[in-house]
Amino acid sequence: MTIHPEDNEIIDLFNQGGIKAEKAFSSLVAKYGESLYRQIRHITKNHELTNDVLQNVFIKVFQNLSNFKKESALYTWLYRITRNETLNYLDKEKRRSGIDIDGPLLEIIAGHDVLDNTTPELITQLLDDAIDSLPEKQSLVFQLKYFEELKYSEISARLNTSEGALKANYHHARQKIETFIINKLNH
Amino acid sequence: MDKQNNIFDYLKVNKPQVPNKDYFEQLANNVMKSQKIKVIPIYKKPVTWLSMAAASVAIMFLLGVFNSNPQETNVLLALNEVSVNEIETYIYDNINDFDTDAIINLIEEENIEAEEEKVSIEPIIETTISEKPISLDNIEKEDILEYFELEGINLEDLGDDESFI
Repeated sequence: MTIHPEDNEIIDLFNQGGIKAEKAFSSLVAKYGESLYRQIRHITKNHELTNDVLQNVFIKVFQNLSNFKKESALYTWLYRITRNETLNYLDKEKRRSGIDIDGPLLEIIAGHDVLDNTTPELITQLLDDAIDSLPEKQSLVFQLKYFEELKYSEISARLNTSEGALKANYHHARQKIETFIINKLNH
Repeated sequence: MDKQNNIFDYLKVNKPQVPNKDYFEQLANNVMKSQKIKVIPIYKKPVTWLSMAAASVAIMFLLGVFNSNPQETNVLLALNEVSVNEIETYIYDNINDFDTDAIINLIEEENIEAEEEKVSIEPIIETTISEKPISLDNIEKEDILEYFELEGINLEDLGDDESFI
């Protein structure tokens, strides 16, 4: 798999060490920090925990970037690290923040027979469970499109996948998630 | 059925607030600090200073800065610009001003031998002057007596052996 030229440039610059590595790493954080932050905060529900996890994520990235083999897109690698760090952190801490500052991620718009009988917290939890059940790449595509509202062209650049493939992938992801949630709510 | 499955039309995402650009800049700096990334200016690197010092010492040696007699160095440098022929000519013309013993002592023995080999004038050997082989019979008696007188040899000291004459 060929890596996106911009990401390739960041990696090559980082591998040169010194000031160049510093610049490359700062560019990497600026480019992907927000997206990873949202991914973490979606799970942790508050800024303090998100901050801790995100710092751990980027420490891991810094320590391992020179070993990144470019077998996947850089963002896919970052997403994987973020997900693992988030789950490990929560598991290790065995807590959420005490009081969840963030409200539920989803709001329910009235008019759907099944959804009207549920709560935003439950629907948010069910959505998270549904996303977890997807293959990694598909889960990533869905989150970038649905939660971050990126254009297909932007997702294509990030994941180095064609827009056509992404559209198909997202469409199937939505179908799977809808089926999952409806089945859960009907039981 | 379609309506029942089309749940996304009835869901709205509440995006959490994301920190501004400064937060991520600071985050990157904190991470690098924690990994002890330092950008050391080149002039602060010990290796740079050692290399510069070593190079400076080498250059100074080459220039002879550590020569304790700079005047001598200047003379030697000036002499280097004068050709060998010019030096020889000057010495021949002013030989009386030189201490010949000192000059002889300065010339190394091996150089004398080397110079002797170079000399194209054949050494004076008596056989070349006289076609006759050297023999006391060929030397006049008066020449022998003159020789003894010059050497301070008293014939009377030689005793009764008059074979020399």
